[in-house]
Amino acid sequence: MVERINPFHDLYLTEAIGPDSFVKLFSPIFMSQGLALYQPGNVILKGLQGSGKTMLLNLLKPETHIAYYKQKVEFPVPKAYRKFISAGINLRKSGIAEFAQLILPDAEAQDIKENALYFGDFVNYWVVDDLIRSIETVIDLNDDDFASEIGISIDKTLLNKFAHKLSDSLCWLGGLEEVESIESLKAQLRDRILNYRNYINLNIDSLPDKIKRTKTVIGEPISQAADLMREVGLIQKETNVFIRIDQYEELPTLDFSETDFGLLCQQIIHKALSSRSDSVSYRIGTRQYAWPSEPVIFSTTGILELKRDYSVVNIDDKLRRSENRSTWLFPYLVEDVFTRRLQLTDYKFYKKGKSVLTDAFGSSMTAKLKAEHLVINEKSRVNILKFDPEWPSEWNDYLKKLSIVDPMSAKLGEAWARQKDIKKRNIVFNPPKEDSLPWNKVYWKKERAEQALTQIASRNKQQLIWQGKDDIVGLSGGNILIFLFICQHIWDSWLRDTRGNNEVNSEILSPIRSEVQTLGILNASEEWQKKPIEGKQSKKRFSVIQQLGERYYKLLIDDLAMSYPGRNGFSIASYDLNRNKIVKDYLKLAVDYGDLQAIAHTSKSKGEKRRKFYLAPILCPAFRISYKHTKEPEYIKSSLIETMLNNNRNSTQVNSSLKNTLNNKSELTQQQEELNFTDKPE
Amino acid sequence: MLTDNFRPWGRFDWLSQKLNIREWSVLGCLGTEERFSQAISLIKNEFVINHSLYVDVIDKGKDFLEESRKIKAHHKQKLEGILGVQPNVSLMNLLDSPVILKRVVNKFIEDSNGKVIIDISCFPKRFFFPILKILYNSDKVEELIAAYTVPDGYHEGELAENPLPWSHIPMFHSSATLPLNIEKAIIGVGFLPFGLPSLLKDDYSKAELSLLFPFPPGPPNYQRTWDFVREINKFYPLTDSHQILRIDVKDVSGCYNHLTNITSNGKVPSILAPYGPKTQSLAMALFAIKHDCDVYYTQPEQYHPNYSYGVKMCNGNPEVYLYCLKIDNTKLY
Repeated sequence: MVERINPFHDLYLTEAIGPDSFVKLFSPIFMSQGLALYQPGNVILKGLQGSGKTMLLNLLKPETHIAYYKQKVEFPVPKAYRKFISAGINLRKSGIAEFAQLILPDAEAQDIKENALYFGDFVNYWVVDDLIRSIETVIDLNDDDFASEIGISIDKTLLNKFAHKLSDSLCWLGGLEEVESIESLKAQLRDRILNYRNYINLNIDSLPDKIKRTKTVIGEPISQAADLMREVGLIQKETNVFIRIDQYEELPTLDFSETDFGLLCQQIIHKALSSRSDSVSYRIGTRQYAWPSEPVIFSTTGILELKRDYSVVNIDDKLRRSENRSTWLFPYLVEDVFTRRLQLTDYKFYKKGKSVLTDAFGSSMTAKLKAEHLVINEKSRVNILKFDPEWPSEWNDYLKKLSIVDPMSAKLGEAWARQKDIKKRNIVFNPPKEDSLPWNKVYWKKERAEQALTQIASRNKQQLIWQGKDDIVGLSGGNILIFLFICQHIWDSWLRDTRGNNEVNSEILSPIRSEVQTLGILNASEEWQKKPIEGKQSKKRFSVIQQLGERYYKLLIDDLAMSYPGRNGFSIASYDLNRNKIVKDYLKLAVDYGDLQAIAHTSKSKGEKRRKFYLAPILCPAFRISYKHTKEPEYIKSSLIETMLNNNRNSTQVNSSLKNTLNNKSELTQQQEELNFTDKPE
Repeated sequence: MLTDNFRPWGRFDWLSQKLNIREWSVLGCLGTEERFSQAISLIKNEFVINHSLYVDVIDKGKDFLEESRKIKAHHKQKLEGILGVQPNVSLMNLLDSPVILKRVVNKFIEDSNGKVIIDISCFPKRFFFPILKILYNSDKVEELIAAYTVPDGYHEGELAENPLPWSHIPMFHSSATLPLNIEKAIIGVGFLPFGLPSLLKDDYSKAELSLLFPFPPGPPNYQRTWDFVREINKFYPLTDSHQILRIDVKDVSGCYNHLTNITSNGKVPSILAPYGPKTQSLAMALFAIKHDCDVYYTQPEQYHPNYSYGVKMCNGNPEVYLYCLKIDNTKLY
């Protein structure tokens, strides 16, 4: 009997594990899109939380490369790009951000600048120390073949030669004493770091004079160290040196005292990227919102130029679905990630088809089938209909009969009879034959199927059905963390559902019942909603999301004619947005944090430029609205969003409102009963 | 549990009788919570107040600013009534540099008689951690007692809003120059795990998690503290029930001993994240001071003015606790 665990319980497994397990879990599917990371040139790696930035950066670490080598697993970086060594700094963990705490509100501009220079000096010392550590990691492995693959010498004596030359370099501006051994060099580097730590902790009132007099220029000692490593033969001429800078998004948040300190620190990092030297290449990991549109270089009016000074790898863009589904990478990535997770457990699973995801979750039902599952008995099927008082009883009876056979078709028929077009409305006097239903036109039906489901579920006070591979992939919205989050919740529901059932203890019930999947996905959606309370303007962002979700649910169920089936998103004219800075800034923030997804689109009005916005797909189940985008979204003015921003409801109000929307807990309980949650699986 | 030091603590009415020193300097927070004045009121009745300083912390967020201003104006009058003189109030912004705080506290120490009671009840952690460190490490402070007033209850809605990203609490950054292989992440369980999963994910995913669970939490706190645990568990699964340590919320010394035990007397490299009750955070602060640990927090930009209400009573007496931290210049922790 297998241990009944949830393979997705640890969402961040790929970061929590050591290099050895990393080899088993890392999916190389994205590599083709991120090759720039392993080639010369500065790269800004952008992505939402959990998009996989750290994983990609971790591949640069020598420990990871060594793990692949030891396990004789092909390193996912193509052979042509394997000659590299890397070093890095995590801006939060290193404590460097704490410089901001020392700035007084009345500080002169010069003092603030001075602190920014200390920030740069700290980065230099830290990264050079880390670079030495990386080289030592490879040397300690003592394997000629591996060293040769990455272009590094394992001759330890070269370290001392390098240490002597580096300590003697002018780049330190007198900050280092000349040394003969690598140990002495490291001691000096760490002494400087210790001084900074003591200063940050207010253990000393000011930095030693020597540090004040010898602040280094950002990037220079790092480049110098790389050059000297090449000069003494520690690394080969063609071996790239990559410098990882993690948590760049920390910097804009450092302006505690309403100063520009955070901005200056960003500019310091930009300065390192501006050197255009071939010695080293930087890798900056950042969330979307932090990288400025015009990255100013410290102490200059110059701006880093895209393509010339740096390139961007935007994970979110690469994984989000484009118009052409066949080129969409995300389904392949999640398939691989899912399989790797299961392979690490004792679960057996049958790979019946090509997709393990389909084996586990099945295919998503069609809207027609979902409707039939939503309303099972005759009474509830008839109940989905709402009759107009002016309709003749023959038409009402016609719809009732149809609803018993095909609830989706009956609901669409009801909507058809409510259309503005008099010809369509007149159908109530002449019901069509079953084989020639006018609402069965492919696009008319397709565009309204999701809205019809929302209305059917609403009429019966039920949740929508969410299940199958397509729903799970679609709700993930191109974010691997959300995908794992959904899987985690489905698996939890499945474990509860099958508790005590010995037959399913030895293998996955394949596929998991759709009722169980629905419950898991609903839980995931409701839990994910709580996440926006973190980050910038979290209170407002949380409030607007709630208002939007509730608005679209209401619009979709009140629109009985289904004239506006695309109203699960909104569109704002670009000119309107450009003149409303508050709303523009908010929307940018909401998109950068992943609360909303933004898409450019063609307006109904000729020549007009607009942008449309949708809730992140994972948020939709909790609001009982579809994540699929169809037809035109709601056209609104920016002032509506501004009103929502000003309507700053707190989460208590929102929660109670949400509960009302969901018809309080008794309905949820009812829903669980309807899902037959306590039943044994078939 | 027997330890090297006997660390006296207990209810105010009991412990205050045992103290030989009858003249104290008091450092507190002029907050919006009703409990802010309970300890000073008892201190004034029982002892001579040699010197006092109240810090008025202004939130960065503006939503409750006006409401807070009005409450604090009223509280200042109340404080004046208790002290019988115009209170000595120092105005500071929530996110002000710790350099300013250090100056204020050093001046307080200079003006004090070296016998200090710090009332931690209403101080944000961003303030009481550094204040405690300065007082605890100052040779001029010979006697140091922490006072804590238990509120009758907490606001039902959000207690704090708009958390900033993860950062060290000022002055609580390990001085290690090499990246430590952190083996333990010790979390004080509270109501709001702002950003905690992201800290564990980003930086300390390999560390073993220990949750200090306030016990007994009592309704309605019970639900909120378990929600906190659930939230952590979602992103950072708890694999062993021993990872949840039930800690008597009032027993600072006991909590400190637990910290000592699970870290092999501070030898296991650890980080701390104090989200729990103040008394638990007090133990964590003292542990971090002694063992040079990183202490992380996601500082909210604003606190609800009715963060807590009332003062809890027991047998007709307000529940105010005193914790001796230094006696005759001897550190007890």
